Amino acid sequence: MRILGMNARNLLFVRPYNTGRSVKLARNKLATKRRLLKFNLPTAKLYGSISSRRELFSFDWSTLPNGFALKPNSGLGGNGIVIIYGKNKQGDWIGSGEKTYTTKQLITHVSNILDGNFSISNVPDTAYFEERLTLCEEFKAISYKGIPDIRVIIFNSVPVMAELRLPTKQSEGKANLAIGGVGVGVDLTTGTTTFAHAKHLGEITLHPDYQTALSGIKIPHWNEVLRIAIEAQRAVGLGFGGIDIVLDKKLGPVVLEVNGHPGLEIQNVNHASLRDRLERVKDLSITSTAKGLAISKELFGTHDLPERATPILGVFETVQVFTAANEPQIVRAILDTSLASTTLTKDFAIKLGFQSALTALATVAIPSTIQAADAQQAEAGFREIIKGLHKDLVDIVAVRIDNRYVIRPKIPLTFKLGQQLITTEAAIALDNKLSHPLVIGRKNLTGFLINPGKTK
Amino acid sequence: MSHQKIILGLEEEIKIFLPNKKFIRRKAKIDTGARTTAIDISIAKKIGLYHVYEQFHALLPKLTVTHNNFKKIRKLINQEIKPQLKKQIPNLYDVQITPATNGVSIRPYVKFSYRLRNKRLNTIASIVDRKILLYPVLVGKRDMTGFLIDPTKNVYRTA
Repeated sequence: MRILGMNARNLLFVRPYNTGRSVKLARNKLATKRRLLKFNLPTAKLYGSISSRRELFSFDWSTLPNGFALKPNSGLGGNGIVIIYGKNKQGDWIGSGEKTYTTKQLITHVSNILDGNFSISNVPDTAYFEERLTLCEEFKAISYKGIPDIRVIIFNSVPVMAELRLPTKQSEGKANLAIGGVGVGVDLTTGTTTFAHAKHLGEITLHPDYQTALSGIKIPHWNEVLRIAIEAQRAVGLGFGGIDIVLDKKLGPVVLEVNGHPGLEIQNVNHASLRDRLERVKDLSITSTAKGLAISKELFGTHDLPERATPILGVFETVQVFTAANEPQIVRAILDTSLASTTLTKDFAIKLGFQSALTALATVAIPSTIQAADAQQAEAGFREIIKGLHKDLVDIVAVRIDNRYVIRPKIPLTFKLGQQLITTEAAIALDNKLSHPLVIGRKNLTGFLINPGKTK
Repeated sequence: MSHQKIILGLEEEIKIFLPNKKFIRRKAKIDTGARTTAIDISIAKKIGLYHVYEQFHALLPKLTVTHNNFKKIRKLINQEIKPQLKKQIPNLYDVQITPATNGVSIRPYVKFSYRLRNKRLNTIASIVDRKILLYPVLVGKRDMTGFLIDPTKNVYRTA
């Protein structure tokens, strides 16, 4: 296997195929954004930009929405980016890690960006505000704090290699491989992840923070991701480039940025040579996006991926449950297929920090049992009553026990079962009559097999 | 190899062996939350053990069990009531007190043999009035060893 090195990349592929103008355009994120919009490609919405001190002091901060990202225009490696999630009662901005910023602090930060503190070779820079992207469900179990992105290498309108980059604790929630993020190879045909590699750990199979499996994850909207990547490359005019795409919860695939000198560590996680692949598509004439996509899938997809084995659990499992304050707690739980929803006892719910929700519920008179005939009506009635009572009271259900029904309120609950992070709405047994503090119902057991003979 | 284990759904058809060497087929509920298998009175009648249920409830002394005196009552049953009842009722195999979701109940156990997929199981089952429930037989996890259960396969009927 011939690994493509940095010199070969620059001499054989960057210089001949990337024009100076296109590389310059790729480096300027604001100009890239404008170009992508011109070609109707999805990017994060721009709220405003500041390019000089005069603009900074006349900037109207009240025009910004509550959540946004503040970025330097020619930043490197995610430095200088501030994410704002909202405003608190004092009118300060809430950043990541419960850090707050006053408007004055943000002005100082923008000032630093303008000075070029975060830009390539410290030249004066522009700051801009854009839409804050949100993490999609599929990646929740494998991303620490930040949002993962997908790097697709495109050459001659053909996707050549792809990689999913995950934020970790080591990388402080940034999807950056150089500071400890995890790179995961992606099969181009199916969009499922293959091998994973982290700078400080080498080849890995589990996420370093969550211990969740990294292979076999199917990336949603995969064909759309590749299509957008090809079109973004064509829009910017690069012959050889790396396109960074983020999957937003609402917007779907969104182009984050375009690189004229894409990194080469992508070869490690795909167990393949970039040079071999690039040379195979070098002389092809690709006229349309669809053709580029078809050629890529035919040439570079592995068609016989090993199937991901279904995890097998015992009837009793040790589960890591996250409290209301997101602290992990270990508990022994029973897996009960006769229950639909995961249920926990009232005592255990209090232990997990849902006391305030239960206190709010105490104002509602809930009978201990209900006759079968009245169950549906009672359920609807209580659902109406608890609406807006407390943020953790998300629903209420009538559960059948023999010929009677009991009313159980539902709260949001996150737990880790068999290396999978599960977020669900769990019911609380107000009478505490459960054999275990936590009973996992069949709704949360999809994707598992249960082995009743397994005792450990 | 775990691959060779048979994967059960949540609803399985079982063959229940009758004393006259014939058998009946019934839909059973596979429930990992239950320890032992339970059968309805109608099944007990078919296998000729209904008298156990009748006599058991006629002879069982009135006991009020709560979650507090549970251990005391269990001791009383195991040491005194069980040996006595076993002498009086033929074919009564065991008496057990179970803390079920609907309160604590004392149940008679009888020998019960049936076929689940490829496996003949000679086991014990409690006799319960399951008339209002959807399945006449509930298979407990004690009978499921050697199988795997897929909670998304053959999901329970709802009505």
